Amino acid sequence: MRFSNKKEASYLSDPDVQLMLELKKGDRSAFEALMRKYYPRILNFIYRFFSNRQIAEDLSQDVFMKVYKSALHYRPQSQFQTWLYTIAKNVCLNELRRKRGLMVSLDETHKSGENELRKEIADPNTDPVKALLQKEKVALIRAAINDLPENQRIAVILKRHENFSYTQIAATLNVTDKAVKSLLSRAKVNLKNKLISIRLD
Amino acid sequence: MDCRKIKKIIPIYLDHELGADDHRLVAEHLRTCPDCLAEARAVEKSWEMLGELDEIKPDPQYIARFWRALDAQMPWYEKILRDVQTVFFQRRWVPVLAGAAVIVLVSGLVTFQFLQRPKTVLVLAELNEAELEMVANFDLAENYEIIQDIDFFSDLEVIENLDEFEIS
Repeated sequence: MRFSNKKEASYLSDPDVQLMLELKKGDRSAFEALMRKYYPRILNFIYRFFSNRQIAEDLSQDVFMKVYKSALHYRPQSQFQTWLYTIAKNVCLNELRRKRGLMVSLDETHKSGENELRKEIADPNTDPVKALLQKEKVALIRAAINDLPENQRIAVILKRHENFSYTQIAATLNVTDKAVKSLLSRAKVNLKNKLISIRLD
Repeated sequence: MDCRKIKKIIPIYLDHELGADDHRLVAEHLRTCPDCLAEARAVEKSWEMLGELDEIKPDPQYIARFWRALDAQMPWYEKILRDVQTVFFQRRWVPVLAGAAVIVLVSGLVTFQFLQRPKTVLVLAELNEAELEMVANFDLAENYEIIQDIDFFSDLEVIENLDEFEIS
């Protein structure tokens, strides 16, 4: 396969780009290899964004559907991981805009947490007070993330949970490195202000 | 650099994403400023707390579920294209497909020849016995069309006795 410019050729050393090129030729097993590698990560990326398992599963499938369907015209323009997370980010933002009024509220998160709590309280081996505190803490952390503006939220998840560098975050969000510094700086201060009240034990 | 500016870049400092000079500057400041040090520790703690969020595991059938969803979405012609592409990608099938193509080609040629053969037989079948004998005895098989137009026995007699006629 010939590539028209050096930029495209420079991404050929990425093994995931090679898998995409195999998929382009019709190798479904290459796509399954990509799914095995990235699906659990994308699922959790979206789960952390929406705090809802069903939405995370549906949107993860949408992300990989887009990857599969774009294989026919695929040309490597970036590292595969960056490209994939850019798709995931766009899917999340589109869904957020579409369902802004219907998005799972913090109250709903608490409700689902309560169900799990009841199970844990019923378990004689679990300290109910400790379990309750832990659940409240997780709910507050989740609420603090959900309260962040969209781009700050994505930057936080990519940095904290996906271990992306600032440059990788910039490529995924299509912003400059300087903008990422600004986003993460404000996000971290926001999180600190919201979480400072939680007892750190 | 004053505390306000330092606090602004503490989150970046904690990620080791500041330039070397700024990084050294913040580190020195934190050694001497308890207020900024407390801010740095609070930012760091809240950042660590994010690690307490739970992680979910995918449904074990997620790959099969994906293919089913794709099949449900895909129009029939795209499915055929995909299947053809998949078969051709599996190169072990290429010799088998090439062999099959040769067999189909040869079979086609043989059938074509077979279908042509009865037409010749039919033409010959329309000739009577005398005509067939004449055809058999004539070396001029390529001029069979001329022979067909000849009013047999009378004309042929003339032709046979050409030597006896003096044509001037």
